[in-house]
Amino acid sequence: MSKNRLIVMGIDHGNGYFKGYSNEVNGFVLPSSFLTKESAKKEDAAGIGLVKYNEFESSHFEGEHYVWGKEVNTAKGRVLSTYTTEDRYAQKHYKLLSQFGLASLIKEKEGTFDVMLVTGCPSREKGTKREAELAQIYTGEHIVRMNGSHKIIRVKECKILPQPLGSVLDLYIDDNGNIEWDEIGKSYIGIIDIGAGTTDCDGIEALTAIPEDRHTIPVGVHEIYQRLADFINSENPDANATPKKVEMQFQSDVYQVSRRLSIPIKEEKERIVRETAEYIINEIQIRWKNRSKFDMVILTGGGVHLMGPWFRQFIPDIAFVVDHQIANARGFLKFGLLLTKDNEGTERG
Amino acid sequence: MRKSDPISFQIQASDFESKEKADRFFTLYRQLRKNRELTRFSRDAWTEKADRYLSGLEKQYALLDQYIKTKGVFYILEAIREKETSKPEETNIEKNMTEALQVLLKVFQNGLQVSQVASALDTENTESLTKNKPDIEKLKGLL
Repeated sequence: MSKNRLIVMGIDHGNGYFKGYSNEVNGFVLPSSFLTKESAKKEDAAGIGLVKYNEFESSHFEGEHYVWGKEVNTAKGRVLSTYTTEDRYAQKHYKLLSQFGLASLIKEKEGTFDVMLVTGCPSREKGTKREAELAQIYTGEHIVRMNGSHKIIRVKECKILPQPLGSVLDLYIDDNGNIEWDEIGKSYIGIIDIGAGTTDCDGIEALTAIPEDRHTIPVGVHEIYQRLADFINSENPDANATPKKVEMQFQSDVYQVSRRLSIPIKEEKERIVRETAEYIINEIQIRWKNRSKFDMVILTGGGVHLMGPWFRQFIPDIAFVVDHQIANARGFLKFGLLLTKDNEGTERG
Repeated sequence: MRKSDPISFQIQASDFESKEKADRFFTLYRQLRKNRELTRFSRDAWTEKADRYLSGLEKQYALLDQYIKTKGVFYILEAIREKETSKPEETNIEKNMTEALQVLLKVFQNGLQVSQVASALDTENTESLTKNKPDIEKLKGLL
């Protein structure tokens, strides 16, 4: 029987963004939300096809057509988000987006593909039933119709790491599977990963995970966008501000509802960011009572750009990962490639 | 700031009251533009022109920036290409050159201070700089 070529993937399915890498697709960051095809059609009422989405249909929900792409962030229609923390992996939209992500990380338009996947879970879920639930979502066969062509995706193996370790592996290993930064393998490192829904903390000493350093604080940057949206709506109930709309205008000091209506947000924004950062830092102070034990403390995740300055006041020599949003997914891929090579070696041996 | 992002800042009528004020205003604008181009050039040169990224922390990017500004990006890129395409049979001069370039690479990777470069370039102190393979069994323990 002919054996399909193995595709190795690294996926970081966050609450805010889905980050994916494979040995075929060199990384993408897309919103963790999508639209029904009908809803997308309304966005493009003139039918001129200005908005380019990929179209998906899953065999688990036949007849339901969805679209996904970076334009989802600016869509005015009803966006289906995968954001939640409780029973996240049981949600229909989470399962669907996981399949869309798998299909998007395969270059060929159609066929049958074998996949080895490495993904991440919030640190506190490692070793719990949640980890098993996540593995169950991905492992096995997925039939996805993408832009009219069928992809049969067989996930042969799904390995799960605590999310922040992806960034550490990305720093440690280079593109060719060699050691890029030797110090990582010899040091005691504290990692803080600020995501959309959670902030994960992990400790790793000479590449050995230290369970007592492992914590998840259920607050991330989404809380900032949500609180600011609540403020805008309290100023003017007709603003209909949502966390996603707020995120899109976050760099501005004025929230633009329309050309005729704008709401100043500068002071409130600064206050909310400060309060959220201070809350997370306070929680870390309680959980990591002794921070001097670490040789290095690293900050990663999509929240670095917003909360980095406050963390630098808290730990002055904290190091920011440059590609903080995608480093976890890239680290997962590098780890997956190493495991695959090791398996091939064992099989040959 | 991305290249496509507009440079925006508050303009007031009083900024143009006198020539001095207007000149100061435009100097600030030019400075902002220059800074933005430099930032973009150094980081993206690595990912786009060298077709690779520097896996690291902001400190290492700052060091890379410094090298690109002092030595020039083409010197750095040429050095990396030479290192990557170097043949096993080399003359002594080429071997020394390769070792020096590997030290340069190591400097980027380990984020050493510039003052340490000179001692690192001392061939007597130069250890074997061939990259090692990670201990896969140890890494499996993270699962």
